[in-house]
Amino acid sequence: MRRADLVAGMLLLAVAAVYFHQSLFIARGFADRLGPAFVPRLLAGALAVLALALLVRAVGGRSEATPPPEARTGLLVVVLALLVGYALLMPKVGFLWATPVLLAAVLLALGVREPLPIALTAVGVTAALYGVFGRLLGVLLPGTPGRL
Amino acid sequence: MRWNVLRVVVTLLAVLGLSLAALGQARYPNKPIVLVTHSSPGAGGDIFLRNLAKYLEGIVPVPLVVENRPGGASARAVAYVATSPKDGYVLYGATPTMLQTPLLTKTQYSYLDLQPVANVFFDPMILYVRADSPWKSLRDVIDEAARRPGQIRFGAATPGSVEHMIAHHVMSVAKVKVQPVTFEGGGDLLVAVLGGHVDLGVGEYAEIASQVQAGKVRVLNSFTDKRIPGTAIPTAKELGYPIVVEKFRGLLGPKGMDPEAIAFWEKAIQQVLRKPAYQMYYRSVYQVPAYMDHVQYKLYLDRMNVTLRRYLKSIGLVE
Amino acid sequence: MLERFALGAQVALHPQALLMTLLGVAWGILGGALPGISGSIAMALLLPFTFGMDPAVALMMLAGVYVGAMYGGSITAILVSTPGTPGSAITVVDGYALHQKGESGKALGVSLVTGTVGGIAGVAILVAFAVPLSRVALAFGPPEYFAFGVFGLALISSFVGRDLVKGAISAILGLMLATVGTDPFTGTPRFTFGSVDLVGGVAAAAGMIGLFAVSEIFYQIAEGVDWERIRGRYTTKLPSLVELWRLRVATFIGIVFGTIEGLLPGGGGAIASFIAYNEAKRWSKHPEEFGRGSLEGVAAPETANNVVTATALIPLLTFGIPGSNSAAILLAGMMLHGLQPGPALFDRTPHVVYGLFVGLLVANLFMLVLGLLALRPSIALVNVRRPFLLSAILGLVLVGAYSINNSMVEVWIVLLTGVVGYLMRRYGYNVLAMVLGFVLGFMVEANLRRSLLISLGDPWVFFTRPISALLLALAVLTFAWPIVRRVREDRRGVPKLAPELTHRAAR
Repeated sequence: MRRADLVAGMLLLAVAAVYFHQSLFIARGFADRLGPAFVPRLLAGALAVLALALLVRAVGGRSEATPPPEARTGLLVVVLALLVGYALLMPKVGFLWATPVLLAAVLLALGVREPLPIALTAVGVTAALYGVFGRLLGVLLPGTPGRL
Repeated sequence: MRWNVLRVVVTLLAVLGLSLAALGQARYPNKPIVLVTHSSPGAGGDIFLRNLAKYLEGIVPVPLVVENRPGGASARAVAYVATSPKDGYVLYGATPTMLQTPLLTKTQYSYLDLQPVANVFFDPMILYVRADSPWKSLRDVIDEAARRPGQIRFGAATPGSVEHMIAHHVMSVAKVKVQPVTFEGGGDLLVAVLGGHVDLGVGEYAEIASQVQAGKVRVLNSFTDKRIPGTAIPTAKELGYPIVVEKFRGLLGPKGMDPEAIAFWEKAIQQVLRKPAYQMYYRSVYQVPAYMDHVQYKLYLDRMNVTLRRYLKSIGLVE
Repeated sequence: MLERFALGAQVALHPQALLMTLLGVAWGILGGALPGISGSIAMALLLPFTFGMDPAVALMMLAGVYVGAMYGGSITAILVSTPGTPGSAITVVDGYALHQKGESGKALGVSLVTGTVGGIAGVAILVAFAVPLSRVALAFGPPEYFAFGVFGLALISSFVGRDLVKGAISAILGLMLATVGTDPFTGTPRFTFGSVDLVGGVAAAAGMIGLFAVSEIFYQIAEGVDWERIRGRYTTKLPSLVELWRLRVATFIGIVFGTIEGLLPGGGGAIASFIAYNEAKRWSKHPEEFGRGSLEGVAAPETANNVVTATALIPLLTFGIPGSNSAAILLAGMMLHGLQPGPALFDRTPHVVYGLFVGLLVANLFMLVLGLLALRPSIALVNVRRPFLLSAILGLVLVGAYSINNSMVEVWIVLLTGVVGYLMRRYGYNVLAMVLGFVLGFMVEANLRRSLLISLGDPWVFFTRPISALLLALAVLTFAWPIVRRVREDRRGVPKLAPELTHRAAR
């Protein structure tokens, strides 16, 4: 956990810095006394202090002892890549084409190897989602006719 | 011989039918028309369009479909309409938000990428106080503001909104200083006025009408050009303060929209505003019919845009 | 009064009215259960269909949706860790923990029964105390809302467990997320990085779907439990009457805070259900179960939520001010039928008002029946092999996120907050504290700034106004109490619970 806390502390300091930097570009306006940048700067300061506390604690070796459990990070990255690909491509190829592919790919990635259940899930879940959201609730899913 | 006559008749009928069908194809409208709103379902802009669509039944011969494209404070809806085909089958139900957003943020499209079609309503704005307030008129407020500059708490919606603009107009026209207090919605402001947390508020008449009837709040004046129909509320103009600010509601299409479609909608809006059932409805929610054709509407929006920009500059929100 | 009730009953118990209320409740349960579709959206979608109806029947149908959506939202909160509204965010903690222990039927059953009790109690409060309670709403000005919000934020110290530094970091990240978008106070865009898509801010539903549901899916994928072994362990066993009776204190606490939540139109929102949860924990005989699957932890917030369906009508009917998004749609429904809410409404159209009251009672009973019927099928839906469940939930939450604004922006937000939430869970931060900061952030900031406007710059306004001062004092106590207790326990050498035992959502 110590190394994780060190990394997190650095990262959070960076977040606080970027956030503070962005707050410099907020138009002030004359509408109220504190202004739209006051609370953000307060938050950036508080985050920086807490991140420093985290770092000091980690350097001093007082971090929590329990390490996080083993993670299958590789698998998560694969699923994440699939999701990002889906978010990029779905508006272009349409909901009804992209969704079954995503569902099947996620199932494959998670180690399912039976073709029939994969196909049925991919098509069935897509159809159910389209029926409920697209038709019944009138959500304008990309590449599908809306509800009239 | 008889057979021939029949053939001629059939041929003629067929030609007539085809040309009628072709005529039907050419005439606008011949397929469902989409009305786009930047409001979420159930919010003001959404209700306006759904009601309009309901009462246009019988005037517009094709189905009208309301589509909600919220997000980006109207930027998404404007972008969607601006990039739609120009055949007049996608229209936008506009409010002043459409003008504000491009002034405050960099957006890809603004109202200049749209073709004004017709304005429909003004939502009248009024100034009100709690019933036990000593003020009876805008003049009392201004006198008090002159005595205690910057001490009167003037509740209004977000800066950039027409409500907030009114607060600033009052200050610049009467040369006094008040303290505008921002609220997110007209309802929140009404509670604050009723609870005595602010001294007065500016809002849509429809939002406070029932409290007026119950005697809980008093309306001082409206900021309309003429008195609100069916009321005896004086206008600010009558009192000598020429402040006229309205929330407009109208229709716009993509720039370069088919002139035939524009003409069709100009006629349809005039007709629907005369429909008794619709009149009964819009009077009950205090919307004032304010028809403008596409030329007048364009001029109006240009003027409103300049006013808004000048005001946003004066409060330091735009360069 | 009684004859008005008789009139209302006559309207509400008409077969057509009953049918429409039933349909409304069913539609509400469906809409509430779908992520991204809130109760208010489900109601708004029905609005056009109520055009032709009698106004009383139309309002009953909409109210049915409102009531049904509350239970629908708890179905997904419990079964797939996706709260439908900020008000049911806290339900996820113990509801989902119970589900993971296999006690899904109990969790849903408790939510259903206490929800019905809350709904009926709410109607009783509405009928009996509408006028005096409406004055409470007026007493709350900007300083009081600010203090109330701070009170809500103070709860993080009791939610985060031992690591206060990481808990505070989590809450601040949530507060930061809430600042993205147009500052509704000045109209200036903040932290939008020049993108129009962020001008509207991060939708509450998107943030919660990402932080709760998507991060949970990522967690299950990466920290891989043995999937084959836990197949089919979700049971449909309902809570017993004895178990329900033990929830009476938590339910009562839920009623008290739900009443307050409904009364405060300016955005009390989620705070009351968080406070109800915290108080239920404090008064519980088994506070150690909270966060690990306590039935009381489900009962308190779910009661509060359903009380709100009735008490939110108090500011709506007396001032025409909606106490929630759903009440706003109800207001729209009234306006569509030419009904002006306000004091005169009760006298002018008693059959509508009292029809609505009786209709709400009927809707709560329908919710109980329909909820019991829907309980088994919905548990059956999640009783599939884990990879299939995970991919189906992914599909559901992606469409849900898209449907918030009919746009991909929310899909990206959900994925991003999902990754953040996963990392937070993995490294001992607290997702719940982040959600708390996220849903309260704007309300606290706006009312801080607004208070200074109405006080003409005097910062003492928070302490000179009695309600605000009291709430701030309570906030300090609420914040300090768990810390003091922990320090004392440490001194006495009470054995610490292994961190693995605490539920992930609460970590």
